[in-house]
Amino acid sequence: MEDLTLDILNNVEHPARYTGGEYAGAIKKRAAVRMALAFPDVYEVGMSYLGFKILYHLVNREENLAAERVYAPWVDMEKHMRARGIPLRTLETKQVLKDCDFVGFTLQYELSYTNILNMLDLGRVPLYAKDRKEGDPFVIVGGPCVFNPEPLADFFDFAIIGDGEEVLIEVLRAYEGWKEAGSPGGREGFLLRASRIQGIYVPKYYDVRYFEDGTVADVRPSRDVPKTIYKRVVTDLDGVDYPTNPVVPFNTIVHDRIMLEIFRGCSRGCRFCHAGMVYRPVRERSKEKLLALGKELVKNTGYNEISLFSLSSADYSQLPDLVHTMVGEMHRKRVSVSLPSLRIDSFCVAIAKEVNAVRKSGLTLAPEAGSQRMRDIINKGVTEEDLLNAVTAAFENGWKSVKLYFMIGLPFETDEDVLAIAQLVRNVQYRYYEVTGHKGCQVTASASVFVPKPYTAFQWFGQDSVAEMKRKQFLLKDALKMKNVDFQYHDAHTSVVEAVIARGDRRLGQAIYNAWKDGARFDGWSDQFSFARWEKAMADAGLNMDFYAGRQRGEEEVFPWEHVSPGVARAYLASEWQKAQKGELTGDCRRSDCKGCGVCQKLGVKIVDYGLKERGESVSESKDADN
Amino acid sequence: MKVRMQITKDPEIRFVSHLDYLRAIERGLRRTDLPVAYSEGFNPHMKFSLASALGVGVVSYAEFVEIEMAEPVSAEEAVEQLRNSLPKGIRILAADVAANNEPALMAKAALTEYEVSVPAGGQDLLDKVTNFNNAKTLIYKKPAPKRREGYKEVDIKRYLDSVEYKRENGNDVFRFEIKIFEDGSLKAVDVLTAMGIDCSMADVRRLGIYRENHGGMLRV
Repeated sequence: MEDLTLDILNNVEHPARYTGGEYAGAIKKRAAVRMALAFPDVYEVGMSYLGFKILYHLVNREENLAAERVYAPWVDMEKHMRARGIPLRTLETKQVLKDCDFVGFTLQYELSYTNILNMLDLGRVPLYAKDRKEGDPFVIVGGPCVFNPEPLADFFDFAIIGDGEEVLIEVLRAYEGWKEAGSPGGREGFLLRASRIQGIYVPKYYDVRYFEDGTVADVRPSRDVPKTIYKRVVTDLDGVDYPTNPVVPFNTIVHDRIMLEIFRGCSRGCRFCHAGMVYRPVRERSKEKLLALGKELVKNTGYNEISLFSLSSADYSQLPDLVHTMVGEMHRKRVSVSLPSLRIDSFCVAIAKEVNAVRKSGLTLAPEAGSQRMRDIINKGVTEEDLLNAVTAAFENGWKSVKLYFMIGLPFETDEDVLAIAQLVRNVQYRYYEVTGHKGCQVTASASVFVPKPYTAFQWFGQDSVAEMKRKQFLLKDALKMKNVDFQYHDAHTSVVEAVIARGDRRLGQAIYNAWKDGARFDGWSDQFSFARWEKAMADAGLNMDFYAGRQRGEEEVFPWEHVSPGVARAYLASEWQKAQKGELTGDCRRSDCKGCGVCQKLGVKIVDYGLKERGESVSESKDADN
Repeated sequence: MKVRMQITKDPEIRFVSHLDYLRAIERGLRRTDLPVAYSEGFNPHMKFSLASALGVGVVSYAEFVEIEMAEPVSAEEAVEQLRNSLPKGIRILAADVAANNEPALMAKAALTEYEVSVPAGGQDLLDKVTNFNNAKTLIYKKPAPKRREGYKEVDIKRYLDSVEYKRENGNDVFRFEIKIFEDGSLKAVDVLTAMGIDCSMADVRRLGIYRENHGGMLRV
């Protein structure tokens, strides 16, 4: 921090991003192994990420291990740093990244990849893994996008696939042992050791061959390493330590509240959803555990809001009980309980009403698509009636506005499907009139452009062209020119680049490097993003965006990411893709029979749902699933 | 009743904004078991207030916070509990208790004392300081972004008579007291900028806020 002088800090936005010293930060001056938890976006975004709160806690409670935080400096700060040759340091003990033993990036979003290169460069770490020498840190990656790590394969040394709680400590301890033994075999020696740990992927131990048409021919190990790396899974969430003493920031961050993870995974099976596939199976924390953690968190953080966090919190088996008890316990300190996502039914509105007893917040629902045909294609599993029942309950309970999330550009979409979004918005407004006798229900409709992701049923789908996306956006914009409706959509170009990287292969490394070299930073921020820059970066790398984003992929095509796996069987995804075309639904396996995705069998894990346990049921015998 | 405290904003957290500093105190209070009073309604908030917004980057040894309690608490008890739950960089220097209807401490504030140090250049600044101390008026175009002209003309000498100056460890160090009027006051850097001193590297510290008779605001 010493080199960030007063005049620099006085002339950047939100200077406290760079000065640290927050409540409950872990400052370990001495440690045998020091790791930087690097989030490739600004402080306010990175500090909101639960995964790093968990890992920070687990590493720092260990003797001899230290985890520190580092975020991407915003463009104003980067200018000062480059002008004066100031390196990027961690917030805790101000280590330059090159002096850490590990620099671990989380891959949350494809458009943050150029920030990874930028942070390495500012931290004085050689960008390419092949250029790193003895004494340089190991650059590692994890997080949801690690299920296709290939576009970054040139830059990281190894990846951690799946839940990080157990495996990260194993890696750091293995490193400690290797170092104590005198670093036998040098960097290569440690990489080989690491590759023996389950869930670790070392890209340079795998060779990729391509067909002449550019598609992948095969991916083969060049060493004695597994052909497919399966993710790590924490089987019992109650059994792993949860951070009850997280760093409390000074700055207002994106999710400025306690985040209490009530379960991991979601098996509703929406066909567009990446998280729903890669975090399987569903594993709940027990109600008793959650109440105890909640109390502890309020006492330690001083926050006035606790968010019951998960991919689909309304699906928690004992939600009414949990919410009711927690709201009661939290009232004395005026701490409110909130749910980040609501299922579309009136049960959820009743819960929402209860959690709003302390603080009144908005109501957000995600029908995802406007027509029933489309909602069936994506396996959303809700009807227009469900939605109208939910808003009826909301309007009866005093809500005057509602936010609705949609996607456009989904597979098999017609103009009628797009326009049905406008009709649905109209119906919601009319329902408000029916319930309250007044007009003027405020509806915010947001439509994002669909990006096909690996390990989903839609991984074969060729994304709409930019022209087609824009046409649909305007079609909808025109249809939503209604009183009290706010329509939000964003630049279609960013969705194309996201799609290119999401299903990209190793050759994209060159394009990411070109884009970064040409000034790409914070591509996820519309004011920083330049499509022209990416077009040039791709062209200079001899690559074609349409090959990655717009091309419908062959049924038998080998995908670049299949040697890294969340355990979901390709045959299952293919069958979901077939069912989508016919508009057939697949139910949730959580409280019914197995749908054959293959995760539980492949990884030897099972669903943890306390609703089933209390009723004395067990999930019926699983079907065999082949990978 | 309310508990009143004089607290610091130490150098390590000087870049925390006023609003965020306020929230850090609020969270600190919620980490204690003190019976802090809350407002009624849908968005209940803690009943406490912090006098005078401090500029981002300014260190202070004289921030005054007043916390309304739902039940009686002694100043000692409040300090004892809060001391361990505040972030490093916020220390409690003094405290007392008062009735809810007691006017805010800052209502009595008449003077703010600052120390500003800037890295010394080649030239001694004694002439500039002497000129300032001897001048009858010094008109300064104080930046005012909301105004059409972008500034507001003020007479610096209305707010202070003199500045103490010394050179110390390679820094030019200034010490002065700025008066607080009903229509406002000045920032420390306004004074030095008006004198023609470059403040881009200025380390500004608020040392104290005093009553008209130079008495402290709180007993220590």
